[in-house]
Amino acid sequence: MTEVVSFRNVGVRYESGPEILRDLNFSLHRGSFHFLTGASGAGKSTLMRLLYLALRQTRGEINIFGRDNVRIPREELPEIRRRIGVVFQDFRLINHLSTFENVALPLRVAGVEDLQIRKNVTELLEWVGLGDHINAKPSRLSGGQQQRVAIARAVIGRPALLLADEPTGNVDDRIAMRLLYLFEELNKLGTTVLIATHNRQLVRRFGHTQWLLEGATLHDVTQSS
Amino acid sequence: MAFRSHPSHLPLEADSSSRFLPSIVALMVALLTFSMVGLAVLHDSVGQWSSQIEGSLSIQVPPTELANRSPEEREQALQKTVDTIIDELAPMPGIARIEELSPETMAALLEPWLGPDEVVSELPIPRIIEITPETGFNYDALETKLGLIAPEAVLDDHRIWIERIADVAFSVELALSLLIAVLFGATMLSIIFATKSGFSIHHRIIELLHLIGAQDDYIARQFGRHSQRLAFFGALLGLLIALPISVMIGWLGMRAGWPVPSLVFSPLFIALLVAIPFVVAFVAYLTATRTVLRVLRQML
Repeated sequence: MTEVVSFRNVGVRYESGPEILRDLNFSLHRGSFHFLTGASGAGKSTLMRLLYLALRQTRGEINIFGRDNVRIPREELPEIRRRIGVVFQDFRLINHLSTFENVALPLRVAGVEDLQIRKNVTELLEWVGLGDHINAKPSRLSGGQQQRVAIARAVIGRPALLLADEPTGNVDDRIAMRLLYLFEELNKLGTTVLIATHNRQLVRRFGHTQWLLEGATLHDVTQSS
Repeated sequence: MAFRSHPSHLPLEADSSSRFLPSIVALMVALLTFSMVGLAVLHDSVGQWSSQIEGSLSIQVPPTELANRSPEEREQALQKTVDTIIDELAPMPGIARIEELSPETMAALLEPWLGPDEVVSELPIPRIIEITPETGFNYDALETKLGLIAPEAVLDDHRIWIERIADVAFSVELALSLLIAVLFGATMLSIIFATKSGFSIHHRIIELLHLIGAQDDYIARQFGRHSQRLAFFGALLGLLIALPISVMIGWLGMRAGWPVPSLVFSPLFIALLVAIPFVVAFVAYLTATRTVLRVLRQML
Protein backbone atom coordinates (compact mmCIF):
# COMPACT_ATOMS: atom_id res chain seq x y z
CA MET A 1 0.00 0.00 0.00
CA THR A 2 1.35 3.47 -0.91
CA GLU A 3 2.53 5.53 2.01
CA VAL A 4 1.18 9.07 1.91
CA VAL A 5 2.91 10.06 5.13
CA SER A 6 5.45 8.34 7.33
CA PHE A 7 6.99 9.43 10.65
CA ARG A 8 10.23 7.89 11.95
CA ASN A 9 11.33 8.75 15.52
CA VAL A 10 9.89 12.22 15.22
CA GLY A 11 10.16 14.61 18.15
CA VAL A 12 9.11 18.25 18.56
CA ARG A 13 10.12 20.77 21.18
CA TYR A 14 9.69 24.51 21.28
CA GLU A 15 12.99 26.25 21.96
CA SER A 16 14.61 24.71 25.03
CA GLY A 17 11.37 23.33 26.54
CA PRO A 18 10.48 19.65 26.97
CA GLU A 19 9.49 17.52 23.99
CA ILE A 20 5.81 18.00 23.17
CA LEU A 21 5.88 15.03 20.82
CA ARG A 22 8.32 12.19 21.27
CA ASP A 23 9.36 9.16 19.17
CA LEU A 24 6.41 9.25 16.80
CA ASN A 25 6.44 6.30 14.40
CA PHE A 26 3.48 5.81 12.12
CA SER A 27 2.37 5.77 8.48
CA LEU A 28 -0.73 6.98 6.72
CA HIS A 29 -1.47 4.84 3.68
CA ARG A 30 -3.36 5.93 0.62
CA GLY A 31 -7.12 5.71 1.18
CA SER A 32 -6.83 5.08 4.93
CA PHE A 33 -9.02 6.74 7.58
CA HIS A 34 -7.68 7.55 11.06
CA PHE A 35 -8.93 9.24 14.15
CA LEU A 36 -6.47 11.01 16.43
CA THR A 37 -7.72 11.48 19.96
CA GLY A 38 -6.22 12.88 23.10
CA ALA A 39 -6.88 15.35 25.86
CA SER A 40 -6.59 19.08 25.27
CA GLY A 41 -2.92 20.06 25.19
CA ALA A 42 -1.79 16.53 24.33
CA GLY A 43 -0.18 17.78 21.12
CA LYS A 44 -2.87 16.94 18.53
CA SER A 45 -2.66 20.39 16.90
CA THR A 46 1.15 20.27 16.90
CA LEU A 47 1.03 16.93 15.10
CA MET A 48 -1.47 18.37 12.62
CA ARG A 49 0.84 21.35 12.03
CA LEU A 50 3.68 18.98 11.24
CA LEU A 51 1.42 17.21 8.74
CA TYR A 52 0.28 20.35 6.93
CA LEU A 53 3.86 21.66 6.78
CA ALA A 54 3.41 24.61 9.10
CA LEU A 55 6.04 23.28 11.48
CA ARG A 56 9.23 21.24 11.28
CA GLN A 57 10.24 18.46 13.64
CA THR A 58 13.24 19.00 15.89
CA ARG A 59 14.35 15.42 15.32
CA GLY A 60 13.42 12.34 13.33
CA GLU A 61 12.29 11.97 9.74
CA ILE A 62 9.02 12.81 8.06
CA ASN A 63 8.23 11.67 4.54
CA ILE A 64 5.28 13.23 2.82
CA PHE A 65 4.18 12.02 -0.60
CA GLY A 66 7.46 10.15 -0.73
CA ARG A 67 9.66 13.18 -0.04
CA ASP A 68 11.73 14.03 3.02
CA ASN A 69 10.05 17.19 4.35
CA VAL A 70 13.29 18.97 5.31
CA ARG A 71 14.77 18.43 1.84
CA ILE A 72 11.86 19.88 -0.10
CA PRO A 73 12.94 23.23 -1.61
CA ARG A 74 10.86 26.13 -0.29
CA GLU A 75 9.50 27.04 -3.73
CA GLU A 76 8.07 23.50 -4.09
CA LEU A 77 6.20 23.55 -0.77
CA PRO A 78 3.08 25.37 -2.14
CA GLU A 79 2.61 22.61 -4.70
CA ILE A 80 2.73 19.96 -1.96
CA ARG A 81 0.45 21.97 0.33
CA ARG A 82 -2.16 22.04 -2.46
CA ARG A 83 -2.36 18.25 -2.17
CA ILE A 84 -3.26 18.60 1.51
CA GLY A 85 -6.72 19.77 2.55
CA VAL A 86 -6.98 21.20 6.05
CA VAL A 87 -10.06 21.88 8.17
CA PHE A 88 -8.81 24.18 10.89
CA GLN A 89 -10.20 24.07 14.39
CA ASP A 90 -11.23 27.74 14.14
CA PHE A 91 -12.33 27.35 10.47
CA ARG A 92 -10.23 30.36 9.38
CA LEU A 93 -12.85 31.64 6.99
CA ILE A 94 -12.22 35.06 5.49
CA ASN A 95 -14.99 37.28 6.74
CA HIS A 96 -15.13 39.74 3.85
CA LEU A 97 -15.44 36.99 1.26
CA SER A 98 -18.66 35.18 0.36
CA THR A 99 -19.18 31.46 0.94
CA PHE A 100 -18.42 30.94 -2.74
CA GLU A 101 -15.16 32.91 -2.63
CA ASN A 102 -14.02 31.23 0.58
CA VAL A 103 -14.46 27.80 -0.97
CA ALA A 104 -12.93 28.93 -4.27
CA LEU A 105 -9.78 30.20 -2.55
CA PRO A 106 -7.56 27.09 -3.05
CA LEU A 107 -8.53 26.97 -6.72
CA ARG A 108 -7.82 30.68 -7.24
CA VAL A 109 -4.45 30.30 -5.53
CA ALA A 110 -3.72 27.37 -7.85
CA GLY A 111 -4.63 29.48 -10.88
CA VAL A 112 -7.68 27.44 -11.97
CA GLU A 113 -9.86 29.16 -14.60
CA ASP A 114 -12.97 31.04 -13.50
CA LEU A 115 -15.40 28.83 -15.42
CA GLN A 116 -14.03 25.68 -13.81
CA ILE A 117 -14.06 27.32 -10.37
CA ARG A 118 -17.71 28.34 -10.79
CA LYS A 119 -18.75 24.82 -11.79
CA ASN A 120 -16.79 22.96 -9.09
CA VAL A 121 -17.59 25.28 -6.21
CA THR A 122 -21.31 25.45 -7.00
CA GLU A 123 -21.53 21.66 -7.20
CA LEU A 124 -19.64 21.16 -3.94
CA LEU A 125 -21.71 23.75 -2.07
CA GLU A 126 -24.87 21.95 -3.23
CA TRP A 127 -23.36 18.69 -2.01
CA VAL A 128 -22.64 20.03 1.49
CA GLY A 129 -26.12 21.58 1.64
CA LEU A 130 -25.07 25.22 1.26
CA GLY A 131 -26.42 25.81 -2.23
CA ASP A 132 -28.71 28.52 -0.88
CA HIS A 133 -25.88 30.37 0.89
CA ILE A 134 -23.46 30.89 -1.97
CA ASN A 135 -23.30 34.67 -1.55
CA ALA A 136 -23.59 34.77 2.24
CA LYS A 137 -20.70 36.11 4.26
CA PRO A 138 -19.41 33.80 7.04
CA SER A 139 -20.80 36.12 9.73
CA ARG A 140 -24.33 35.37 8.44
CA LEU A 141 -23.86 31.61 8.76
CA SER A 142 -24.39 29.37 11.78
CA GLY A 143 -21.47 27.48 13.38
CA GLY A 144 -22.39 24.27 11.55
CA GLN A 145 -22.70 26.06 8.22
CA GLN A 146 -19.33 27.74 8.73
CA GLN A 147 -17.84 24.35 9.48
CA ARG A 148 -19.22 22.97 6.22
CA VAL A 149 -17.75 25.92 4.32
CA ALA A 150 -14.38 25.17 5.93
CA ILE A 151 -14.71 21.49 4.93
CA ALA A 152 -15.77 22.40 1.40
CA ARG A 153 -12.69 24.66 1.12
CA ALA A 154 -10.49 21.82 2.35
CA VAL A 155 -11.79 19.32 -0.22
CA ILE A 156 -12.41 21.53 -3.26
CA GLY A 157 -8.92 20.86 -4.61
CA ARG A 158 -9.47 17.07 -4.32
CA PRO A 159 -6.59 16.65 -1.85
CA ALA A 160 -4.72 13.39 -1.48
CA LEU A 161 -4.56 13.97 2.28
CA LEU A 162 -7.35 15.53 4.33
CA LEU A 163 -6.57 16.75 7.84
CA ALA A 164 -9.32 17.96 10.14
CA ASP A 165 -8.56 19.48 13.53
CA GLU A 166 -11.57 19.13 15.83
CA PRO A 167 -14.06 19.44 12.95
CA THR A 168 -16.98 18.50 15.19
CA GLY A 169 -16.01 20.72 18.08
CA ASN A 170 -18.71 23.36 17.64
CA VAL A 171 -21.66 21.38 16.36
CA ASP A 172 -24.24 19.10 17.91
CA ASP A 173 -24.02 15.30 17.57
CA ARG A 174 -26.44 15.13 14.65
CA ILE A 175 -24.38 17.55 12.51
CA ALA A 176 -21.15 15.96 13.76
CA MET A 177 -22.35 12.60 12.45
CA ARG A 178 -23.27 14.15 9.10
CA LEU A 179 -19.81 15.71 8.80
CA LEU A 180 -18.10 12.43 9.57
CA TYR A 181 -20.22 10.66 6.94
CA LEU A 182 -19.07 13.37 4.54
CA PHE A 183 -15.45 12.57 5.36
CA GLU A 184 -16.18 8.88 4.80
CA GLU A 185 -17.57 9.70 1.36
CA LEU A 186 -14.36 11.55 0.49
CA ASN A 187 -12.32 8.66 1.86
CA LYS A 188 -14.17 6.25 -0.43
CA LEU A 189 -12.99 8.44 -3.35
CA GLY A 190 -9.38 7.70 -2.34
CA THR A 191 -8.53 10.55 0.00
CA THR A 192 -6.45 9.71 3.07
CA VAL A 193 -8.22 11.16 6.10
CA LEU A 194 -6.91 12.02 9.55
CA ILE A 195 -9.33 13.59 12.00
CA ALA A 196 -8.16 14.99 15.34
CA THR A 197 -10.91 15.02 17.93
CA HIS A 198 -11.34 14.70 21.65
CA ASN A 199 -14.86 13.24 21.17
CA ARG A 200 -14.04 9.53 21.67
CA GLN A 201 -17.71 8.62 21.99
CA LEU A 202 -18.36 9.80 18.47
CA VAL A 203 -15.28 8.03 17.18
CA ARG A 204 -16.45 4.67 18.57
CA ARG A 205 -19.45 4.72 16.21
CA PHE A 206 -17.04 4.47 13.23
CA GLY A 207 -14.85 1.47 12.68
CA HIS A 208 -11.64 3.25 11.73
CA THR A 209 -8.14 3.23 13.19
CA GLN A 210 -7.91 5.23 16.39
CA TRP A 211 -4.74 6.74 17.75
CA LEU A 212 -4.41 8.23 21.18
CA LEU A 213 -1.86 10.93 21.82
CA GLU A 214 -0.86 10.71 25.46
CA GLY A 215 2.37 11.50 27.29
CA ALA A 216 3.75 13.04 24.09
CA THR A 217 3.67 9.65 22.35
CA LEU A 218 1.20 7.98 20.04
CA HIS A 219 -0.71 4.80 20.96
CA ASP A 220 -2.90 2.69 18.70
CA VAL A 221 -6.13 2.20 20.63
CA THR A 222 -8.24 0.74 17.85
CA GLN A 223 -8.48 -2.68 19.52
CA SER A 224 -9.17 -1.40 23.00
CA SER A 225 -12.12 0.74 21.92
CA MET B 1 -0.91 50.41 -15.04
CA ALA B 2 -3.32 47.66 -13.87
CA PHE B 3 -4.28 48.23 -10.28
CA ARG B 4 -6.65 45.27 -9.87
CA SER B 5 -6.67 42.25 -12.09
CA HIS B 6 -8.58 39.85 -9.81
CA PRO B 7 -10.39 40.03 -6.47
CA SER B 8 -8.27 40.64 -3.42
CA HIS B 9 -8.33 37.97 -0.73
CA LEU B 10 -7.03 40.33 1.87
CA PRO B 11 -9.39 42.94 3.34
CA LEU B 12 -6.68 45.56 3.11
CA GLU B 13 -9.09 48.39 2.31
CA ALA B 14 -10.52 48.13 5.82
CA ASP B 15 -7.17 48.86 7.46
CA SER B 16 -6.50 52.04 9.34
CA SER B 17 -3.21 52.08 7.44
CA SER B 18 -5.20 52.20 4.20
CA ARG B 19 -6.92 55.34 5.39
CA PHE B 20 -3.82 57.23 6.46
CA LEU B 21 -1.45 56.15 3.70
CA PRO B 22 -3.04 58.21 0.87
CA SER B 23 -3.14 61.27 3.18
CA ILE B 24 0.54 60.88 4.10
CA VAL B 25 1.52 60.30 0.48
CA ALA B 26 -0.61 63.28 -0.64
CA LEU B 27 1.11 65.54 1.89
CA MET B 28 4.55 64.26 0.93
CA VAL B 29 3.90 64.62 -2.79
CA ALA B 30 2.49 68.15 -2.31
CA LEU B 31 5.69 69.14 -0.45
CA LEU B 32 7.74 67.30 -3.05
CA THR B 33 6.00 69.23 -5.84
CA PHE B 34 6.52 72.58 -4.08
CA SER B 35 10.18 71.72 -3.59
CA MET B 36 10.59 70.70 -7.24
CA VAL B 37 8.87 73.86 -8.47
CA GLY B 38 11.01 75.90 -6.06
CA LEU B 39 14.16 74.17 -7.27
CA ALA B 40 13.20 74.75 -10.91
CA VAL B 41 12.42 78.43 -10.31
CA LEU B 42 15.67 78.97 -8.42
CA HIS B 43 17.74 77.09 -10.98
CA ASP B 44 16.18 78.99 -13.86
CA SER B 45 16.43 82.37 -12.13
CA VAL B 46 20.11 81.87 -11.25
CA GLY B 47 20.74 80.85 -14.85
CA GLN B 48 19.04 84.00 -16.10
CA TRP B 49 20.88 86.30 -13.68
CA SER B 50 24.19 84.68 -14.50
CA SER B 51 23.71 84.99 -18.23
CA GLN B 52 22.61 88.61 -17.83
CA ILE B 53 25.64 89.45 -15.72
CA GLU B 54 27.97 87.31 -17.80
CA GLY B 55 26.59 88.96 -20.94
CA SER B 56 28.26 92.30 -20.17
CA LEU B 57 31.33 93.68 -18.51
CA SER B 58 32.70 97.15 -18.28
CA ILE B 59 35.99 99.01 -18.11
CA GLN B 60 36.29 102.16 -16.05
CA VAL B 61 38.88 104.68 -17.18
CA PRO B 62 39.36 107.10 -14.26
CA PRO B 63 40.80 110.56 -14.72
CA THR B 64 43.00 110.20 -11.59
CA GLU B 65 46.30 110.90 -13.38
CA LEU B 66 44.86 114.01 -15.08
CA ALA B 67 43.47 115.94 -12.12
CA ASN B 68 45.89 118.90 -12.49
CA ARG B 69 45.07 119.48 -16.18
CA SER B 70 42.43 121.69 -17.66
CA PRO B 71 39.03 120.12 -18.43
CA GLU B 72 39.73 120.26 -22.20
CA GLU B 73 43.14 118.63 -21.88
CA ARG B 74 41.78 116.08 -19.47
CA GLU B 75 38.96 115.15 -21.84
CA GLN B 76 41.34 114.85 -24.76
CA ALA B 77 43.74 112.63 -22.82
CA LEU B 78 40.88 110.50 -21.51
CA GLN B 79 39.41 110.15 -25.01
CA LYS B 80 42.81 109.08 -26.30
CA THR B 81 43.11 106.38 -23.63
CA VAL B 82 39.55 105.17 -24.32
CA ASP B 83 40.20 105.01 -28.07
CA THR B 84 43.48 103.13 -27.52
CA ILE B 85 41.75 100.61 -25.25
CA ILE B 86 38.93 100.06 -27.77
CA ASP B 87 41.35 99.74 -30.69
CA GLU B 88 43.58 97.29 -28.86
CA LEU B 89 40.88 95.13 -27.37
CA ALA B 90 38.40 94.97 -30.26
CA PRO B 91 40.41 92.35 -32.23
CA MET B 92 40.66 90.06 -29.20
CA PRO B 93 38.89 86.72 -29.70
CA GLY B 94 35.62 86.37 -27.76
CA ILE B 95 34.63 90.04 -27.84
CA ALA B 96 31.34 90.44 -29.64
CA ARG B 97 31.01 94.19 -29.12
CA ILE B 98 33.07 96.92 -27.49
CA GLU B 99 32.05 100.58 -27.32
CA GLU B 100 32.26 103.56 -25.09
CA LEU B 101 29.21 104.59 -23.12
CA SER B 102 28.21 107.89 -24.75
CA PRO B 103 28.51 111.13 -22.70
CA GLU B 104 24.73 111.59 -23.08
CA THR B 105 24.03 108.18 -21.61
CA MET B 106 26.50 108.85 -18.79
CA ALA B 107 24.88 112.19 -18.07
CA ALA B 108 21.44 110.62 -18.05
CA LEU B 109 22.62 107.89 -15.67
CA LEU B 110 24.24 110.38 -13.28
CA GLU B 111 21.59 113.05 -13.43
CA PRO B 112 19.56 111.75 -10.45
CA TRP B 113 22.67 112.15 -8.24
CA LEU B 114 24.64 114.98 -9.81
CA GLY B 115 21.98 117.17 -11.36
CA PRO B 116 21.84 118.63 -14.92
CA ASP B 117 24.35 117.58 -17.59
CA GLU B 118 26.18 120.96 -17.58
CA VAL B 119 27.55 120.11 -14.16
CA VAL B 120 28.43 116.56 -15.19
CA SER B 121 30.51 117.75 -18.12
CA GLU B 122 32.65 119.83 -15.78
CA LEU B 123 33.36 117.07 -13.29
CA PRO B 124 36.22 114.52 -13.61
CA ILE B 125 33.87 111.62 -14.34
CA PRO B 126 35.45 108.30 -15.38
CA ARG B 127 34.74 107.01 -18.88
CA ILE B 128 32.99 103.68 -19.24
CA ILE B 129 33.64 101.14 -21.98
CA GLU B 130 31.04 98.40 -22.35
CA ILE B 131 32.07 94.96 -23.63
CA THR B 132 29.72 92.17 -24.72
CA PRO B 133 31.70 88.94 -24.50
CA GLU B 134 30.98 85.68 -26.31
CA THR B 135 30.78 82.25 -24.65
CA GLY B 136 34.15 81.02 -23.46
CA PHE B 137 35.63 84.50 -23.31
CA ASN B 138 39.04 84.67 -21.58
CA TYR B 139 38.74 87.26 -18.79
CA ASP B 140 42.31 86.77 -17.60
CA ALA B 141 43.75 87.56 -21.04
CA LEU B 142 41.64 90.73 -21.18
CA GLU B 143 42.73 91.78 -17.70
CA THR B 144 46.40 91.27 -18.58
CA LYS B 145 46.16 93.16 -21.84
CA LEU B 146 44.25 96.02 -20.26
CA GLY B 147 46.96 96.30 -17.58
CA LEU B 148 49.54 96.81 -20.30
CA ILE B 149 47.50 99.36 -22.29
CA ALA B 150 46.11 101.43 -19.42
CA PRO B 151 47.20 100.39 -15.92
CA GLU B 152 44.85 102.94 -14.33
CA ALA B 153 41.77 101.38 -16.01
CA VAL B 154 39.61 99.09 -13.87
CA LEU B 155 37.89 95.99 -15.25
CA ASP B 156 34.51 95.24 -13.66
CA ASP B 157 33.96 91.65 -14.74
CA HIS B 158 31.24 90.71 -12.19
CA ARG B 159 32.84 87.31 -11.71
CA ILE B 160 32.97 87.70 -7.95
CA TRP B 161 29.23 88.41 -7.93
CA ILE B 162 28.52 85.50 -10.19
CA GLU B 163 30.61 83.24 -7.94
CA ARG B 164 28.80 84.45 -4.85
CA ILE B 165 25.38 84.05 -6.43
CA ALA B 166 26.40 80.62 -7.72
CA ASP B 167 27.61 79.60 -4.25
CA VAL B 168 24.36 80.68 -2.58
CA ALA B 169 22.24 79.17 -5.33
CA PHE B 170 24.18 75.90 -5.20
CA SER B 171 23.69 75.69 -1.42
CA VAL B 172 19.94 76.35 -1.73
CA GLU B 173 19.63 73.91 -4.64
CA LEU B 174 21.52 71.29 -2.65
CA ALA B 175 19.26 71.88 0.36
CA LEU B 176 16.16 71.58 -1.84
CA SER B 177 17.51 68.43 -3.49
CA LEU B 178 18.17 66.94 -0.06
CA LEU B 179 14.67 67.95 1.02
CA ILE B 180 13.25 66.20 -2.07
CA ALA B 181 15.27 63.08 -1.24
CA VAL B 182 14.11 63.20 2.40
CA LEU B 183 10.47 63.64 1.34
CA PHE B 184 10.76 60.77 -1.09
CA GLY B 185 12.40 58.62 1.58
CA ALA B 186 9.69 59.53 4.11
CA THR B 187 7.01 58.55 1.58
CA MET B 188 8.68 55.19 1.09
CA LEU B 189 9.01 54.68 4.85
CA SER B 190 5.27 55.40 5.24
CA ILE B 191 4.52 52.74 2.64
CA ILE B 192 6.80 50.24 4.37
CA PHE B 193 5.17 50.99 7.73
CA ALA B 194 1.65 50.69 6.27
CA THR B 195 2.56 47.42 4.56
CA LYS B 196 4.04 45.95 7.71
CA SER B 197 1.08 47.01 9.81
CA GLY B 198 -1.26 45.51 7.18
CA PHE B 199 0.80 42.37 7.29
CA SER B 200 0.49 42.03 11.06
CA ILE B 201 -3.25 42.81 10.99
CA HIS B 202 -3.86 40.17 8.31
CA HIS B 203 -1.31 37.71 9.52
CA ARG B 204 -3.88 34.92 9.93
CA ILE B 205 -5.27 35.35 6.43
CA ILE B 206 -1.75 35.46 5.00
CA GLU B 207 -0.90 32.31 6.92
CA LEU B 208 -4.07 30.67 5.58
CA LEU B 209 -3.19 31.59 1.99
CA HIS B 210 0.32 30.31 2.65
CA LEU B 211 -0.98 27.00 4.03
CA ILE B 212 -3.44 26.35 1.22
CA GLY B 213 -0.58 26.59 -1.25
CA ALA B 214 -0.33 30.24 -2.29
CA GLN B 215 3.07 31.15 -3.64
CA ASP B 216 4.87 34.00 -1.87
CA ASP B 217 4.65 36.10 -5.04
CA TYR B 218 0.87 35.70 -5.11
CA ILE B 219 0.51 37.09 -1.57
CA ALA B 220 3.14 39.78 -2.10
CA ARG B 221 1.43 40.95 -5.30
CA GLN B 222 -1.82 41.51 -3.38
CA PHE B 223 -0.02 43.83 -0.95
CA GLY B 224 1.91 45.36 -3.82
CA ARG B 225 -1.22 46.22 -5.81
CA HIS B 226 -2.94 47.56 -2.72
CA SER B 227 -0.01 49.84 -1.82
CA GLN B 228 0.37 50.84 -5.45
CA ARG B 229 -3.29 51.87 -5.67
CA LEU B 230 -3.20 53.84 -2.41
CA ALA B 231 0.11 55.52 -3.24
CA PHE B 232 -1.06 56.46 -6.73
CA PHE B 233 -4.26 58.10 -5.51
CA GLY B 234 -2.43 59.80 -2.63
CA ALA B 235 0.24 61.12 -5.00
CA LEU B 236 -2.38 62.26 -7.50
CA LEU B 237 -4.23 64.09 -4.74
CA GLY B 238 -1.00 65.74 -3.55
CA LEU B 239 -0.17 66.83 -7.08
CA LEU B 240 -3.67 68.18 -7.67
CA ILE B 241 -3.36 70.23 -4.48
CA ALA B 242 0.19 71.49 -5.11
CA LEU B 243 -0.06 72.33 -8.82
CA PRO B 244 -2.91 74.89 -8.68
CA ILE B 245 -1.24 76.54 -5.67
CA SER B 246 2.07 76.75 -7.53
CA VAL B 247 0.36 78.13 -10.64
CA MET B 248 -1.55 80.67 -8.52
CA ILE B 249 1.66 81.82 -6.79
CA GLY B 250 3.30 82.12 -10.22
CA TRP B 251 0.37 84.09 -11.59
CA LEU B 252 0.36 86.45 -8.58
CA GLY B 253 4.13 86.81 -8.96
CA MET B 254 3.80 87.74 -12.62
CA ARG B 255 1.16 90.32 -11.72
CA ALA B 256 3.54 91.73 -9.11
CA GLY B 257 6.26 91.93 -11.75
CA TRP B 258 8.41 88.96 -10.71
CA PRO B 259 10.18 87.22 -13.54
CA VAL B 260 8.59 83.73 -13.69
CA PRO B 261 11.03 81.35 -15.36
CA SER B 262 9.91 79.67 -18.56
CA LEU B 263 11.24 76.32 -17.31
CA VAL B 264 8.20 75.97 -15.00
CA PHE B 265 5.96 75.87 -18.06
CA SER B 266 8.22 73.66 -20.16
CA PRO B 267 6.74 70.33 -21.35
CA LEU B 268 9.67 68.43 -19.81
CA PHE B 269 9.09 69.86 -16.35
CA ILE B 270 5.32 69.32 -16.58
CA ALA B 271 5.95 65.72 -17.72
CA LEU B 272 8.27 65.31 -14.72
CA LEU B 273 5.52 66.48 -12.35
CA VAL B 274 2.87 64.33 -14.03
CA ALA B 275 5.22 61.33 -13.70
CA ILE B 276 5.37 61.71 -9.88
CA PRO B 277 2.20 59.64 -9.12
CA PHE B 278 3.35 56.90 -11.47
CA VAL B 279 6.85 56.82 -10.02
CA VAL B 280 5.51 56.84 -6.44
CA ALA B 281 3.02 54.06 -7.32
CA PHE B 282 5.72 51.96 -8.94
CA VAL B 283 8.11 52.40 -6.02
CA ALA B 284 5.23 51.64 -3.62
CA TYR B 285 4.54 48.39 -5.47
CA LEU B 286 8.19 47.38 -5.32
CA THR B 287 8.56 48.41 -1.68
CA ALA B 288 5.42 46.56 -0.57
CA THR B 289 6.15 43.36 -2.46
CA ARG B 290 9.75 43.26 -1.23
CA THR B 291 8.66 43.90 2.37
CA VAL B 292 6.06 41.13 2.24
CA LEU B 293 8.39 38.70 0.51
CA ARG B 294 11.03 39.29 3.17
CA VAL B 295 8.52 38.53 5.96
CA LEU B 296 7.02 35.54 4.11
CA ARG B 297 10.45 33.99 3.65
CA GLN B 298 10.72 33.77 7.42
CA MET B 299 7.74 31.39 7.37
CA LEU B 300 8.27 27.70 6.66
